Amino acid sequence: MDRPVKLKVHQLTLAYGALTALRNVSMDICANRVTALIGPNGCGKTTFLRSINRMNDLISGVKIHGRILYDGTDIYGDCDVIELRKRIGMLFQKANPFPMTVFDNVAYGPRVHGQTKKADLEGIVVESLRRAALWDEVKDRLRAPALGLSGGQQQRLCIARLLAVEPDVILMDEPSSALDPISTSKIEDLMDSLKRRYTVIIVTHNLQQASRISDTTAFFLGGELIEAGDTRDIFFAPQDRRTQDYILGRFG
Amino acid sequence: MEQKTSPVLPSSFTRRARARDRALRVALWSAAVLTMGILGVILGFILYRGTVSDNQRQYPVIGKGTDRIPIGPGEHPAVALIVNSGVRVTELAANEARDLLSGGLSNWGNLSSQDLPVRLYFPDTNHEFSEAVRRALLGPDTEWVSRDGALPDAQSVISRVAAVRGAIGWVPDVALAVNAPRGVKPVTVRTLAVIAAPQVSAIHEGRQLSALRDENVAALLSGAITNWKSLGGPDLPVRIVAYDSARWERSLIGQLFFGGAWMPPAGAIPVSDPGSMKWTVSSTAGAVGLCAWTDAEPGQILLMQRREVDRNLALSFFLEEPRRAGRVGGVSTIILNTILMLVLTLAFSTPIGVAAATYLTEYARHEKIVSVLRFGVETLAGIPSIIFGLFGFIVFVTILRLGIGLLSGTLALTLMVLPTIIRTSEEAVKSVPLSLREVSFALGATKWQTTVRVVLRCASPGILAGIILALGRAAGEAAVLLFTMGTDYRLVDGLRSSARTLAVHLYLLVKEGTSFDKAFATATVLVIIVLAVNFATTRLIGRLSLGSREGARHG
Repeated sequence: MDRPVKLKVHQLTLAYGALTALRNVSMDICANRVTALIGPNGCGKTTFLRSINRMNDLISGVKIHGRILYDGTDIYGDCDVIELRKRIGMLFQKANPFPMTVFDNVAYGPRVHGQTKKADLEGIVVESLRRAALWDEVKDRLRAPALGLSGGQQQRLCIARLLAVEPDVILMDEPSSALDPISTSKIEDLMDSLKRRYTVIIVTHNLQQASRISDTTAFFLGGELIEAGDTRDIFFAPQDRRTQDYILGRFG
Repeated sequence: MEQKTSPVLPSSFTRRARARDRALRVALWSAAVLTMGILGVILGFILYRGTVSDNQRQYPVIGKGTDRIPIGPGEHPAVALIVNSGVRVTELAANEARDLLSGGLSNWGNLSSQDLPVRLYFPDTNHEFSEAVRRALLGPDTEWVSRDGALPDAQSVISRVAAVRGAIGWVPDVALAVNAPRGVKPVTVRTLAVIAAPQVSAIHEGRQLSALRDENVAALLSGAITNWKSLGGPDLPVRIVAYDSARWERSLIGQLFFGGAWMPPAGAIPVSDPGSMKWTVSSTAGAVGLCAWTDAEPGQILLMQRREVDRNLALSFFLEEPRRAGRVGGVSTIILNTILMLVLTLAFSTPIGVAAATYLTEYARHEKIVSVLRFGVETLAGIPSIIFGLFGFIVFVTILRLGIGLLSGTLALTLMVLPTIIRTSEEAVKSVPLSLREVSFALGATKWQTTVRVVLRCASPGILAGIILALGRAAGEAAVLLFTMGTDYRLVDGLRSSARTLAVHLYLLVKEGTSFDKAFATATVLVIIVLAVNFATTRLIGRLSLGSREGARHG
């Protein structure tokens, strides 16, 4: 691989109390590419995703071993978690805009990071909505309640809210699983343009989606990383039999 | 609600389901109608009695009177009572006229809700005549309130009464007939009293003939009622005692009840003067008669009941200060005191309550201590308010020496409403979805930022609803405040100053029998304020919850 490595995961093991969710996962994630994490329910892919921006810290009783190096820094070592989450943003499965106006939703991140100048905020909001391909639909409704938007618009609003804090890496946890096909295709188009500026890691259950949008695919099973590599290789020439079975729909 | 019959289910099943559905709908509708009915009756009653003064009053005289007051036998000379036209009184019972003229009532407040001193003027030309008037209006042993108002002639009485606010005077009725005077108006006086034999009003088989109405009097006089039983009295035949036709009382009865002359029914006992009237009535079984109130023995009088309907609440009630213990004037200072009390109580209780609720749900770690705390809060919420009053009196007033006043009252009230605010705020904070907290953290917000900017903001409609609940309780609270905030109805001039709120005012008006009309007017003001606050806050909640209804539609 010729691209620079953005995240280097080294022998990551994670347990919720007695339950081990991830076992010795090691993987490199390249900058400006879309990496898809696939696997059956409970295979640990979401846990893996959440450990990248330390969202698992919020759950009590989590034990983590191993290292995740972000641009060479161990995020579980000497690292400011606020700064980390600002750099590594996350998009959730279900669109979850705040019950505020469209504008306030997008401006939330910049505001908590101390941006209070109205003109600057407006610039950030407009730019973020443009990048999230939502601007044309909401430019007249910035002061309208965000919960009045459609489901697909809400999810793109969440992307705009994420982009407004200028992240470097975007983690997506099944971002289109609750959306209709048209909204899904809009999100997928968006991902393609996003990878030019950001590193994207996406968890998906939709294998077609993974094959359409990702450059790299990683297959998880039972908390272990079975296989990771170029998406074409994973889908058309998997090395591991379990990967092949999953791709062909024999289980999961 | 047309439902297709499922081919899988037996038709009896769907029939039963439909019957159950219908029964549930009927039950729900009945509950809704019942609730709105109760609400309507309560509000309607308060608002009706607040705006209309509708009272049953008892008087020692009948409900009909004349402008012309005969003052004795012979050629029936008569006088007229006149008042300054600013006085809102058009009619007086003989006892009220007596009290006004003799000083028993020195202010119009009790009669017209006007805070005006009573001033008496009368002509002092013919001593004999004015003595006859005194005896007719005041009775034999009562004197004029003062002789300062004695003027040389009737014309000067009329002009003084027209000039002085709250003035009352009498003049010979012929003085009014000459030219219609300006600035004064004649007052109708109800002079006749019904007197009866002692057995009539005695308690009989557990019942008592307590009060008559004008229509009963007319029926008695015309002979239509022959036995006291039909009026709820004892089984005793009615015996009418009537003055002979020369007496003015006889012609007045004819004029008031029969539109001409009155012919007493057969068997009536004729009498010729007040002395024999009283003696005959008291010594004849079942006897009843009408005579001038000033001639009657107090023990013989049958009370008369009548319904008086008038306008009650006026704009001035909101704008005027209460006077004479609230009998006169409005409630302006009390409204201000109430608002001040509510603002202070909320200023104390909201920050503490919301902070406590937030701490309990968002930050508190020690489950056991939290559950003990929560149990305490819930128990406090159920404690009767009077206990908080007593506690506030002992702790704030006595031990902390804050005195009975605004500060002690609002502190006691704060203790009372805090549990309500904590519990409702806790529910509101808990109901904020975890996902919103998570996304805030994922955007790099701190715990504090997340709590303030997301959790409290999203919970604000629920928190506000709790505050309204508390506000309603505080606004309606009298028990707590009686011991701690006092009952001074003037505007407060400091945190230690005693202050009366609307609810306390209402309680005192009723308890001290000051005025039921004012009590209902006060209740109306209280209801209006609470409803206005509720309405305003509901609008605010609608704006704060920014499209969460649309959100619900989209799932």
